Amino acid sequence: MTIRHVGIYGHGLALQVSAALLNHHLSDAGVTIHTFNTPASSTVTVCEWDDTLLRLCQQFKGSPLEWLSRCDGGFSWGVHCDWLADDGFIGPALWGLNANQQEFEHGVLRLKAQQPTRPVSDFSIAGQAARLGRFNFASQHPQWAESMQFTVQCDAGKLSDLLAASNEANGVQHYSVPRDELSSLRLSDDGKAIDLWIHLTDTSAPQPEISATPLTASLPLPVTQLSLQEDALIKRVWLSNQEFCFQLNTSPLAAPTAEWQDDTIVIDVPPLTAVLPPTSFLVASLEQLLEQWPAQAKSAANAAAYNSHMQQYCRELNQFNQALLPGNTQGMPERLFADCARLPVMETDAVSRWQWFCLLCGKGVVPASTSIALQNDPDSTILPLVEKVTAHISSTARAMPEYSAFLQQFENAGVNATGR
Amino acid sequence: MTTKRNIVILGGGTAGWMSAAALAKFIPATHYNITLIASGDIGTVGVGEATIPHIRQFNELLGIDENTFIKEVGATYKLAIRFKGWGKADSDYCHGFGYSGEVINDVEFHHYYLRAGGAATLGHYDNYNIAALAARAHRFSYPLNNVNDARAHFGYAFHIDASLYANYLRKYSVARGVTFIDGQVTDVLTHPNGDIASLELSDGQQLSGDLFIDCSGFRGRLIEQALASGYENWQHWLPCDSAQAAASNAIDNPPSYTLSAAHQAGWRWQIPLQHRTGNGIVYASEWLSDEQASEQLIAAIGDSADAPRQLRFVTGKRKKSWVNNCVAIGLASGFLEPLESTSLYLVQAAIEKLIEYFPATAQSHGARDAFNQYIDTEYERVRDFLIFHYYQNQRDEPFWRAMSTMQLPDSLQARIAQFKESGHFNAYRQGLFMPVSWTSLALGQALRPDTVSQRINHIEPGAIAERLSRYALQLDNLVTTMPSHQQAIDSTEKGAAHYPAASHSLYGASNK
Ligand SMILES: Cc1cc2nc3c(=O)[nH]c(=O)nc-3n(C[C@H](O)[C@H](O)[C@H](O)COP(=O)(O)OP(=O)(O)OC[C@H]3O[C@@H](n4cnc5c(N)ncnc54)[C@H](O)[C@@H]3O)c2cc1C
Repeated sequence: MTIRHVGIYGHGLALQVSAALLNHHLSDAGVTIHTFNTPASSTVTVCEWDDTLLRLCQQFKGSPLEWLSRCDGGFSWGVHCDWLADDGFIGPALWGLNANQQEFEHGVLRLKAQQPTRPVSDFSIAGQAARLGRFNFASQHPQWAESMQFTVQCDAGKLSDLLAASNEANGVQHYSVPRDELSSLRLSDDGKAIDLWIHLTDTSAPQPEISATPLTASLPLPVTQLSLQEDALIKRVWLSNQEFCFQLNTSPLAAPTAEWQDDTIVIDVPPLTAVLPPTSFLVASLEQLLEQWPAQAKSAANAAAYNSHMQQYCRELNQFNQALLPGNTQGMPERLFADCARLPVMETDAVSRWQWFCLLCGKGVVPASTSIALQNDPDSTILPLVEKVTAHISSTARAMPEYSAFLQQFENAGVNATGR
Repeated sequence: MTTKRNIVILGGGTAGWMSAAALAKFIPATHYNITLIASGDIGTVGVGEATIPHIRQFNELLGIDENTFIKEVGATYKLAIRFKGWGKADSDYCHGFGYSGEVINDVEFHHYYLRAGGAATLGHYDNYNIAALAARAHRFSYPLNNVNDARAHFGYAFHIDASLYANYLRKYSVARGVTFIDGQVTDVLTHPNGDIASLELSDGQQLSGDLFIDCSGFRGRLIEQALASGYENWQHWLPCDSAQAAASNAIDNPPSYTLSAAHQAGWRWQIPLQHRTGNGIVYASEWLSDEQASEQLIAAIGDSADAPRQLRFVTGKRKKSWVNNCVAIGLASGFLEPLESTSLYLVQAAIEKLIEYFPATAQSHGARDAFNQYIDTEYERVRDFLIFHYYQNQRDEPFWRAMSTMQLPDSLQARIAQFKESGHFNAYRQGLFMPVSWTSLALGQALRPDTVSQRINHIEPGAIAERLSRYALQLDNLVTTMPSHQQAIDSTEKGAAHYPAASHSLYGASNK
């Protein structure tokens, strides 16, 4: 039976993002999206995104910046982990100025072998800007976009409301349902019409937030802070107007999953995670579904292929989370890096290689050797070149506005754009 | 002063000299000595003439000028592999080095093609692949640099004389400091920890080393005979175990494809070079005798043929390609039959990964495990693709009937089931063949999915058919503007050709 009606059962931002994405890609094909909104159980009011949010906004013909400014959006170059060596910075941005500088990271590692206290944040525009508390978009320097990658965080409720309004305008059917079992909903009149279900859960939701402090006394930071306590991670995130503080369980760290069985795909996404934004997982799991969009909901072989892809995604994600916390056994990426400063081939985009590089350096892993391609060049040639690029990175970061000034400009631009 | 590490390569076939050349280029001579030992008495396998586009990247990395290379190795261009008799006795399709059609609104081209009625309405799927069309027309031109032009979306490779290529790389390597020893290894001495210490030659010479690269061919003189890596036998999936090879005269305006023609118990290849044509027959000896095989080969290639040379092999791979301080590359590491011309690609992939993971010392356990995992994945994914050729058939002969009912590896079973059910092949990141190749094969060998993407349900089949027919016509016209293959070779021979940079993909620039 052809899929004409997709039901998404869940709540909050995850529900609206899923509806928006599927509706955008499927409405032309005559598929109607129905959202079954259950009461929220999570008290987490902040959401984190990598650049997928900006990409999605563009797809939905919205202005990403306008949306963000209406949702108290803040920007982050990455996270700062207080238990890691050097400055503990982990960011998705490329090291160096652009990808044409092949093996730049190996030059960096040679420099670090000479100067072990040099922090990894020295070597990307994002890292230096995070340390200096500065921020800007790469729009004036598109060639450096990869070295200026950032994540965004905003008010989940406000973004959810915005998306809900846009979804409604675009024909998504909305129902409010009690926190019921999906099984009973399936038997209801509304539920019976549904051909394929997306069941969104957040079984590993973090503890309720500890605090939310308006930004009056302190300045916002363009980097998220993680500090390790006995059994928990404390995460501090800055929106444009408030600082939030959350506690995340570390035993183990919450991990998302996605599984398709019969006519239902269950996507379990914690609202907050340590480093890798959960929304990236949500979007990746939906995009994968779209890529292999089935002719009918019960498609055992197609579902098996989907599950195997998503399991691989989760494996790569968990491998990183394992390496993140002290005391776990070394996985393949860490062992390979320790030998020759390389990483194994990754099958998914779960973790960027720069996040791996930052983490492994932050853990104090010193590779036994670095790129053979540079071995002919002595340190006296390589290190000054690395320093030259680093100086360039530094001057680029210093030329950016202070983060609070940037936010002010950004807010004003948002106000102008929305006429508020 | 640092002591230099000694790298010893055993074997002077294509794998040995490709390894030597790449190491000589990328490993600093100030830190390493490279020695290659090969025995003229043992000789090389001497086949391995059809390549895929990655070889261009390899040559480019070595800084080899493509026009010189073509002259030196008697190469012709290759845009596709043409499969005749695969699937059905009368089938005929190409696996071209390019995309078929375009991805439209995130939905792959073949969904549109099938929704519009497939071959019955639109003709052959090849009609939408410019590399396949040009290959069938015996034409060739370089891919253009303009991504908006259909002539930009393909890649190309070569047919080469393997012995000439090995000779060329030998000169290249020796000029860059590689020491060549003509000698036969008679004994392998190991350290107490199992590492290889030295190789003993028949003249009594001993050659010690820190890292040994085993390119000794099928026998795996180091990896197997000395270090007992073990072999995963895949003959239950790929049962061809014999081949005969013979040369015939060169063809005027040769095809720009490798021919693979299925017969009752295997297949036959034809590989056109500038100075001769390479031919061979691959077969399962359980189903076809050596005499029958040579009769068939001679019958197909005619009087000009040499007496066929017999080869035997066991499809599969070493359990581990890197054991202790020894890395096996080429036939020593495994053999998948040359149906998709993948062997030299696998040699190249191993060399590049080894260099990436250098210095590959005895302590590099992480690098060793990662390398072995990488090689396993590459082999297994190519293996699945090859098995698919055999499994997906409707031929009557006993061999083919047995092939179509074999128990598949789980990974392949899952892929085929997904395609049958939904028309999708999921992509993987590591591995040679993308969904576009899997689809060419599926449609070429008459595997039709039960359904196609529902995301294009709203588009009328007639409207799709009209658009696709226009596109096919446009491709046809573009192909007629290309020079003949012979003209292209001649212009290269004159050194007048300005070839494009190598692409990192089998399919040239992507339209995705
Ligand atoms: C029938 C057939 C068709 C093929 N077609 C293709 C194709 O179209 N495309 C493709 O990419 N690949 C093809 N291949 C694979 C390809 O031929 C090989 O991958 C390639 O030639 C590399 O071989 P090699 O160097 O590993 O081994 P070999 O060519 O066998 O070389 C082995 C070397 O080791 C030396 N040696 C061995 N033992 C000793 C010893 N004890 N002492 C000293 N020296 C020793 C030998 O002298 C020789 O130099 C084909 C293979 C076969 C069997």
